[in-house]
Amino acid sequence: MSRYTLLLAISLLMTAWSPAIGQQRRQRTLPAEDQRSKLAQILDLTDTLDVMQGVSVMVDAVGPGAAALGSDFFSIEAALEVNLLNRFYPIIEVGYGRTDATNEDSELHYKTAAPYFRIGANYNVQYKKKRPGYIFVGARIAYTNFKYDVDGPSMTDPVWGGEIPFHFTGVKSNALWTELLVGVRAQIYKQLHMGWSFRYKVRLNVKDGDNSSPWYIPGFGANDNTKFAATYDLVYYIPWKMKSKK
Amino acid sequence: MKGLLKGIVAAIGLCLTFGGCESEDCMLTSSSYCSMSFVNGEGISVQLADTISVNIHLEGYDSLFAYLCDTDTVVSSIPIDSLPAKGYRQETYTYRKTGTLINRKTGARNMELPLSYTAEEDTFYIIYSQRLSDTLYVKHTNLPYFTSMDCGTVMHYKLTEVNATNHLIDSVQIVAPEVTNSLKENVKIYFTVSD
Repeated sequence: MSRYTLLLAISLLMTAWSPAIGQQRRQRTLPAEDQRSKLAQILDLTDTLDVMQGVSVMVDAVGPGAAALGSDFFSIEAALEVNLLNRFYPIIEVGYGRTDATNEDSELHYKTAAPYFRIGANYNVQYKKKRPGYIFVGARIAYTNFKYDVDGPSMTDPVWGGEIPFHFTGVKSNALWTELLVGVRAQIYKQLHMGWSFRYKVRLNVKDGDNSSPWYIPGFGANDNTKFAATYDLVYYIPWKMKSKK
Repeated sequence: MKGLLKGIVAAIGLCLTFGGCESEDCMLTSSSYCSMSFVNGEGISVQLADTISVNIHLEGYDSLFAYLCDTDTVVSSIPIDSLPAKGYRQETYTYRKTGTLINRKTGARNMELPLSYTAEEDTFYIIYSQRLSDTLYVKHTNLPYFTSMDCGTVMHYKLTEVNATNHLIDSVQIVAPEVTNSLKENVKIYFTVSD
């Protein structure tokens, strides 16, 4: 698992390092015309582009699909992404996660439903190539505030005798986590794109109740220190005005 | 760039591989025990030369007895409802069964005792081989705890007070009040005699 984290870190470092190389090349080839073109030069663009290139809206199909296939967890999420210079993609993701599950062996029942939020950015590692599809890396910070119910059979004292009920409702909790991801985008038809993202989630903080630790965290999944997940995104791309000053 | 793409593809492969292997690890024991270590006056671990047994009085059951007034003669065949009117008295006794938690253990350096789910004070009767005994009183709060859907529930406790009689025990001290199913030392029992 640490090798995988290292691999992602190296990928991010490589992409972060590339502007420095580009800056040296830019000084020989492009004159400084205005603030916008300077930014484009610094970012090693061969064309001078408007910073704002477009806006995308997208929905994830994995959450509903998994629930349809029998998963205890249901989630649905949408995102708004801004294309800056075809290279940086700030993004806001808003979702809703829900579970209402009973374990047949332990007879425990857990229920929660709440929204979650993520904010972050993607980085197009193929920004020099002029084509609609691309590979990207990204990072997110995510948060959810939720309540959950947990109940089960009464607990029977095996030594002293007696039993007590086990029933807790409206337990307040919240969770903060971060996600590192890699993904691909491809054009399906005109403005319609699709893509996968593979995510490594690292839980930063979770609030436990007095009598429980949340089993499911909306947006994160089953409560654990780390988790892998994937999204399948359907993307509608709305282009902005684009200038070419070459 | 090719190297980077290979890296990303490899990362996706690892992602899928590890993603498919996630499983939940439950604690080996689902019961919480109050762990008590035996130490001498200097706080150094000692091994008891005596054997040690620990008994408890379990939840009892109530029995009603009817007596002739001013006598100890038990009258059991008379309907209870009519007793007061006919000059009888009735009393209720609670019978408790003794449970043995530790039975003549030799060379003990510590012991793990189960606490009650429902009571907030437990009494343990410690019996040594030389017909001496001590009584240990443990006060605690009870915390039913949900671990996970797969691992179930477990009772946690918080120790609030521990006392003991002073035949062989000199004193007792809470060192970690949280009693959970991850065994760790909760109480030190200081003995007046050591090995």
